[in-house]
Amino acid sequence: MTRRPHPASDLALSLLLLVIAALLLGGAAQLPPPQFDPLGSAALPRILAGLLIVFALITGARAVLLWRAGGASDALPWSPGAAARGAAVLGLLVAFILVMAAGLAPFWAAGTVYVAASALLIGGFTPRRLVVTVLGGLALCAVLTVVFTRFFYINLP
Amino acid sequence: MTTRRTTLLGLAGLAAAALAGAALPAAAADFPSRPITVIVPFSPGGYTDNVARVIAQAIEDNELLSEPLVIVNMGGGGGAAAYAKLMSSPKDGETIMLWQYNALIAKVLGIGRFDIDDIVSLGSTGETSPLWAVGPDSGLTSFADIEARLKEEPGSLIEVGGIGTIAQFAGAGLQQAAGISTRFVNGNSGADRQRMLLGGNADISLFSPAEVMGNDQLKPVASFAPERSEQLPDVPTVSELGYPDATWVNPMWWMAPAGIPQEAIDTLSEAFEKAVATPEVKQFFETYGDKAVFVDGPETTARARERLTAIEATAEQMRKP
Amino acid sequence: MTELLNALAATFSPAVLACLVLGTALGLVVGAIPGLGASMLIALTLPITFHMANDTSISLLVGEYVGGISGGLISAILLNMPGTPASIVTTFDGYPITRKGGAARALSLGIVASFAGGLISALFLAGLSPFLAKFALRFGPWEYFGLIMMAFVMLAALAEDSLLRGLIGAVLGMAFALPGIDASSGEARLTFGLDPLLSGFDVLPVLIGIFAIRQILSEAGQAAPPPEMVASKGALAFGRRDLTRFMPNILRSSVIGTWIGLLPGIGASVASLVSYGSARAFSKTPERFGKGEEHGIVASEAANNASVGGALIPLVTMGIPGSVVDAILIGALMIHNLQPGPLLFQNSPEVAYGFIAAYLVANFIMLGLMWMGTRGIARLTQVPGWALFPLILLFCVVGAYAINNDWFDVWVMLGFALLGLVLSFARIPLGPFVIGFVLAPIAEGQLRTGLMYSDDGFAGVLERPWAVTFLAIAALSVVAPPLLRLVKRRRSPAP
Repeated sequence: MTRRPHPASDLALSLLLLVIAALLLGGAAQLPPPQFDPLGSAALPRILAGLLIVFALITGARAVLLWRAGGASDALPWSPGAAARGAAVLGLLVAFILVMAAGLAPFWAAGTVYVAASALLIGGFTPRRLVVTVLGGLALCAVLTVVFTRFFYINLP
Repeated sequence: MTTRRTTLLGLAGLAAAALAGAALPAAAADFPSRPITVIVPFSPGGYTDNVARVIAQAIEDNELLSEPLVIVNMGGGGGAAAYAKLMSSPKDGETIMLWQYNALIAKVLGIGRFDIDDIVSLGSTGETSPLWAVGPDSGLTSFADIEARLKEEPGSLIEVGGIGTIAQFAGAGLQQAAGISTRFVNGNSGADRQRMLLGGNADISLFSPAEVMGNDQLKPVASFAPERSEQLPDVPTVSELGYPDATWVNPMWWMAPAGIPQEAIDTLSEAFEKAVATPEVKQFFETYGDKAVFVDGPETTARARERLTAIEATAEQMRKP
Repeated sequence: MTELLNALAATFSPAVLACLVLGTALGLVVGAIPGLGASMLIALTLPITFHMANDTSISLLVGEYVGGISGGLISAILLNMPGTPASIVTTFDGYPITRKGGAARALSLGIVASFAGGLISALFLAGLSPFLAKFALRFGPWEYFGLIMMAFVMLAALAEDSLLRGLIGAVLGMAFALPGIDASSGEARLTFGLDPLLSGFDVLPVLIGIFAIRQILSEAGQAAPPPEMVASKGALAFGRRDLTRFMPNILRSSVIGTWIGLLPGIGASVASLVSYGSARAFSKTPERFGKGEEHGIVASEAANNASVGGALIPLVTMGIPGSVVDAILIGALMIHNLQPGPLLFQNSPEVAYGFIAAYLVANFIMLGLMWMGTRGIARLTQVPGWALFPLILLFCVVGAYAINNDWFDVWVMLGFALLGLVLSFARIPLGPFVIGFVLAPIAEGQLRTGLMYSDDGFAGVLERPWAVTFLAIAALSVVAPPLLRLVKRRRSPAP
């Protein structure tokens, strides 16, 4: 962590800030003029957008200067392998939510499959782990389903 | 690594697909065939939420329906998300909503997609009318005091209420009728309105009868109800004060998407009517200083249309400088 | 006083005590699980209390409240995942200590501070409540605004190494709090025509997305558990020497917490921020805050628990709820045909004093349960990621869904997890982001309400001495430290 990150990440940050500032300004432009108080609903978005633009310019300028000075290292803030694994965990989570939101499977089933699958994805596959996570997931999801539907009357789909 | 991961994902997908076949809902033969979902477009603990829960309890305890009512809270966003959920649910009468005239205000202000023509009223269970009350430090004791002060110097009294809520519109209707105007400051919750009045940071606000009944520091000066309330017999109504047009009754309005089976409408309306007549529901509304009355669906819709016209007129006049 | 003693005696009836223990235990468990929280638990148990007597239902709910706010320190300290905004500040020093192997020590400090904060606020609640409540009610929008500004300035202390990056985090957090219906005008703001955005982004999905999900995603990517994580050494400890060392901090933080809790609608996160900032100001080693300073945990946890007791003061004496949870408690009273308000003390003193007694006893139960459980809880840091992370993710999904029974909140949670990843790659601190997100709406709303009072604009604040005081303190804490440094540097060449 002590290594200096690539200035490209700061340039990207500065771009992100500009995009968000543009969204704020765009949204603020559609708001009616103040009716109840002198500031109105558009004032804060505009102020924040202004601050973000200033911050974006400062970080952007610093990054460019650093790049020119050649003080950059090639270190990415993450390693490609780790990123792939993180993305896979995220993908599995998204798949689980999609299945639940579309009502494709009951909670206990989808939840169990999800818990087992992501545990194996994070920890690596061993037969014992498969058994442990499937049983553990099943027990947890069963308890959650019972608690939510019987006591709290919330329908987990 | 990669192959293992893809097999796992594949397995998950297969399992999901296999389970999907088993999860198809059974066709409804008799209404209701499963617990009825009641969407309440407010967070738990508020008035509307309590009404929904008490009615649901009365229906369950007295076996007025073969299935229980399940309360689902979807607060925030002026009820837009809750309404969207109602409209996207199957039109079988098993997903309904309990709302109130906030719905009409949201419509007038262009928040969300509520429209009276898209829903069918199942009736209303109980109605509540707000009161105008003044704080202990305001130096005011009656509505006549308020009128006198504001006629002498418009905007000299601070009124607190939530912008875009009933508290603003009911108060504005009364002021327009009486030809007076306060200085309006924002206070979003009942808690804000109470603390600002009790702390002397505002003079007037709109309250529910229960809030006034529990607090001897707040002095009610005008009731928006058509008649005096039994619990607060000393508070004059706006009609008695000479402004009958300012009367405001807020019904607990049960609704469902238009197009649900007539059988479901009838069954639900009947259950609500019987539930309102039970002693526990009656006692609940009395605690709130309100009346436990049932109004049937068509009449509820007709009244809502009238109220919508009135709110539009109030909003129109508010926009004028 | 006799009424309070009667109420205290009543809490020791078996049924009431059982409900208190059950409620506190449930609250602790739910509070400790990232994704679930006290407000959800209380909302969900509300229907169950319909069939219960007044005293048992109050003790169950109050127990859940105390347990929920205290349980949050477990996941905050051990996993760096605050379950509620109230425990964000606890993570700043709690997690660094855990990483150095001090999990048990950090937990002990948090537990004792929570208990002390609860106890001290309970004394205020029992002793001075009507008087305090009246004083707090005098505070209007300008005072609220000044107070939030004070809390905002504390953000500067949290900005880790770079002030610029801390500011970027805070401003971004504020920007993401904007979408939704603007409470001060009733207009839909920055919703870009999307209906679900009308409700804005709920705090809970944002919090668990930014902290819990983001952290799991980035740690799951690493093959081994975080290398710096050292197994918890040592047992629970809080000795007499600690008591003398932390007592001033505990007292100060508890009074600040109670005081801020008294003000309806401000919340425990401001309480913990302000007391954290003042603990840092009083410290001889302010530079250690945020890197594992024990005083940081104590300040945050004493204040957030004290704010719960503080919030019960306007609730019990005036019927004014200070938070979402308090509003649900009021609803619970109404369903039992009780009218909250000043008249509650006259009409049903057993209920009013029952609240106070239940709160007091719940704090003792919390201390007992936590102290017994902590040894086991501290081992949580040794559970391998493959076993822990999927469960947390599952709870987060269920928790986010259950807020509004809507999948939108779940997607919001995921979206903020990704945003959190991007921001942490760009080395933007996430503490200021979340605090900006939580505080901006309150500050904006109070400022604009203040401006509605007169046509004088910002000059209106000059008529409010307290507000001016708060703003002055805020301004001083920005200006003073660099000035002091300058003075010191001038003097240092002298022998």
